[in-house]
Amino acid sequence: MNQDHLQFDFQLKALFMFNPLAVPTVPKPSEQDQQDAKLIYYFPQNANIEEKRIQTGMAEGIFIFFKQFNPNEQMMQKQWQQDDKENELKFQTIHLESQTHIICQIREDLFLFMSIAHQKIPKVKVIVEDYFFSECNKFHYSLSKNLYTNVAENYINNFSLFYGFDISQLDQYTWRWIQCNARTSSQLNLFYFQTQSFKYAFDASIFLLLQFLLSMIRQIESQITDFLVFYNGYFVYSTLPHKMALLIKEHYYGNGLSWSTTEQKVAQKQFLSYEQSQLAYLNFNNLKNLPKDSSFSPQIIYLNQQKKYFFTFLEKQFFVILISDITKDLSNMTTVTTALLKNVDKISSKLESYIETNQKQDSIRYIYFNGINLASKISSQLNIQKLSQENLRILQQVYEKLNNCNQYVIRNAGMWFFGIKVVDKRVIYLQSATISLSKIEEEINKFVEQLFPNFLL
Amino acid sequence: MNTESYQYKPHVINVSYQEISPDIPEFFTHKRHVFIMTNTGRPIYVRYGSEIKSSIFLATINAIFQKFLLFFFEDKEKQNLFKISHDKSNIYILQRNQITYICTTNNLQVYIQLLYSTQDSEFIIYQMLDFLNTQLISIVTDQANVHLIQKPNYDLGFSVGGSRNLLTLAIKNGLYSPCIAFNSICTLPMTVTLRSFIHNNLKEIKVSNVIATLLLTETYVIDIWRQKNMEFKTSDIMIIQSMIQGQGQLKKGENWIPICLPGLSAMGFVYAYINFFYQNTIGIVMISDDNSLDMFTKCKEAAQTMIEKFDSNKLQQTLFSSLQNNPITPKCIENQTQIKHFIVRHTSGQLFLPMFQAFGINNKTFKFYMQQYGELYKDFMISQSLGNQETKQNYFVWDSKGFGITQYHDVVIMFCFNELIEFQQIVQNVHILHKMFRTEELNNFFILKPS
Repeated sequence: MNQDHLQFDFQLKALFMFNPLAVPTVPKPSEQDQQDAKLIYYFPQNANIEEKRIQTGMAEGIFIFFKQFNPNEQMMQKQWQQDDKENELKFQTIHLESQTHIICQIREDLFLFMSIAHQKIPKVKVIVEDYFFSECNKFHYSLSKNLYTNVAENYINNFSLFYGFDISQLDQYTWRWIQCNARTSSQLNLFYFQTQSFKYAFDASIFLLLQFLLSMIRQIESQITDFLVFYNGYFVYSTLPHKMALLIKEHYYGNGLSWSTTEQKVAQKQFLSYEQSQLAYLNFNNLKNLPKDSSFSPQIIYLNQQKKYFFTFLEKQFFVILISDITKDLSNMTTVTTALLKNVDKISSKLESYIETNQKQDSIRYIYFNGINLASKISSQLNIQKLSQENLRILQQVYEKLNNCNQYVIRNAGMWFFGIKVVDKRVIYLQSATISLSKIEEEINKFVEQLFPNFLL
Repeated sequence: MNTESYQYKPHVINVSYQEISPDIPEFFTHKRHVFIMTNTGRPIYVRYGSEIKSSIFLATINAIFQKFLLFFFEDKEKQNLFKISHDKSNIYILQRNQITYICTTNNLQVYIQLLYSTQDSEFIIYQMLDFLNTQLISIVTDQANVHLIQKPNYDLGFSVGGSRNLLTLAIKNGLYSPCIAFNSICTLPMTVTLRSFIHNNLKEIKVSNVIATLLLTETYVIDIWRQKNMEFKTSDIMIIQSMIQGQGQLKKGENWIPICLPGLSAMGFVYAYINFFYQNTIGIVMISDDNSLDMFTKCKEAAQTMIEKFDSNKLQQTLFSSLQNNPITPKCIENQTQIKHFIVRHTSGQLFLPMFQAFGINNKTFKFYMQQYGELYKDFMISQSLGNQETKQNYFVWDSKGFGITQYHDVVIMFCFNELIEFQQIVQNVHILHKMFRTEELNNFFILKPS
């Protein structure tokens, strides 16, 4: 097995939603009627009807059968506080060599099944010599289960946020989701659902300026409940959890196209051409070429099952999303727009110059995660052009291991990966493996001292 | 928060669980279930319960697997299903030829009484299942797979019969023993001179048609002699030790028994002369493909010669004190509290295991260490498979919980340090371990010269 066996692309083979509690409304229903009643939506829609029925039944059966191996859920509820556990999505993943299936119980009456096809999972040989049977001492090496459940979770969260679980919109939503996460074809990538956007450390003074502006806006329109701010594709600030902020930004810009263009593409069920995709990707990350948007026409979002409005403002790469309660009176929004327009120059120029200064620094680079944001800097001593698949795999491994500890260090694949976590901020430093174990900490400390002079955590 | 804890009921060897079946709630009060079945769903072995009572359950599992594979794939190529993960439980599936091994385990975190999470290492579970396959083949030979191909409904459970306890022991050892987890034997540390002396004696008593001679205890291997150009696999040695652990009568008197050692010949039997001496603690095992009485006599005489030689050199006391001092507490960690534990694996498939037993009852702390080491070793194996030749050396991992792994020439050291120490201290401790296991010192810990 070598690095060519690593591949994180996948295709969505099938996706369906079902309700195991549904009963048919026809009098004297047949078995087929019962199966049909349970199936809410199936992608691709042109699949054979018999196949759809059987797969729905199988998914339900498998989930219930293997659920019994889970520790008694009533027993669990006696132990733990009940606040979060009831709302947690429950996942079951089924791992095969070339496919992984994810079943998710969203609610008692709503399940999601996703079938993703990927490259064949290789086997790792544990001992060098052969044993009596050639397959002995070989086991399947699989990627972390979370990489797969992240995909399903992303689908569900987006569906909840922007469609409020409106089942009638499932087909339109599913196509949009695929296109927004794919590029020129139906290939998606597992790592894409892990970390996406970039964050820069901003100066405290810029941050305070921003806070001042946002407070003023709230005074103008008291119905505003939340803010999200991006600059030049970088995440700056959000009152909502980071993950959600990113979903909202992605939803608005899809795969780099503006909302209205994306809707057209979704309606036609088309993917972009390669050039369009490249351009869209660039736009997504720096917002430079995107047209100004200060129309403030409201769109719908569902937060905590409550319907709300969200408004977007984009000028000079300063991208603001405001979320408010549903209101008929939008007159104050004009004043809000004016306030933003008045201040955009000031904030944009400060942010712009800050980023320029950072980019002109000596070429040490790091990789930084804060749970959803990714910034990258790699040491100039490291003589690589780009990260290999194996490097990416190790990065993902370090990232996951930091869920359970505060530091994780690994030397492998020609590099040191030195991961440090402080609260929910993660930084992974990359260095050349030629540096010895005794010297590595010293080298990393040099990094740390130079990088974050005004780091606003 | 309710502090009542959820306690799983542990498995106890020699307790019969025949009354349990999957349709009663008590079945799921056990943390790890192991099932062995044919690819057609016919039960061979069930850890908790009887095979007959579990037959419907296993048939259902098999039907789900088969239908699942049938209905979710367009292409004809057979897919291997290897894992199902449901919330906090995992189901691991290993297919070996015509037999399927399934282990279910839970990751339920218990808050009180145990300081540590009880998450099972996926790697250790797969290694356990693989060893279980080796053990099963040793009981029924690989002819079983041939029969199953010809007659898929062949009742293999019947052939296992009275050797069921060997399978139960294989599971227990597989879950907890580092030997099985890391495909290694546990060698008894001793001085170079003693090791040479013992090895020369084994060499001198060699008998024609003896493939290998082992000097061992239930858990340790003292020395091995092999016929020239003959490989004697680590798993075979573990099968022998497992058999000795499971059948106490083998430690009494002399025994001449047929045994299937899959590494030598999975289809048939060889013969083992077993003689435990020195109060039934140390045994000599001679493996031959000749089952004649004459062969037995020759082995008996050879063993006697060796024992007399040992007696005349007062080896009994020396060996006893080596055994009694094992597991040892190495000097490097005697007076300091930073290095809590480590395991060293040599590339030849040998382990040095201070402070804890290779097989047998170990405390919860060690079980927790093993889960961490299992995952570390798995990541190491994966990296070795994926990496280029130049990058295969100097692998190193450490996390702030104190666990790590370091590759140093021919050894891999898995360690647990105190959590609250600085990185430079970690570096120093790693160097202490490297020094202890530098190449010139390895003869004290491992059997290095081939036969």
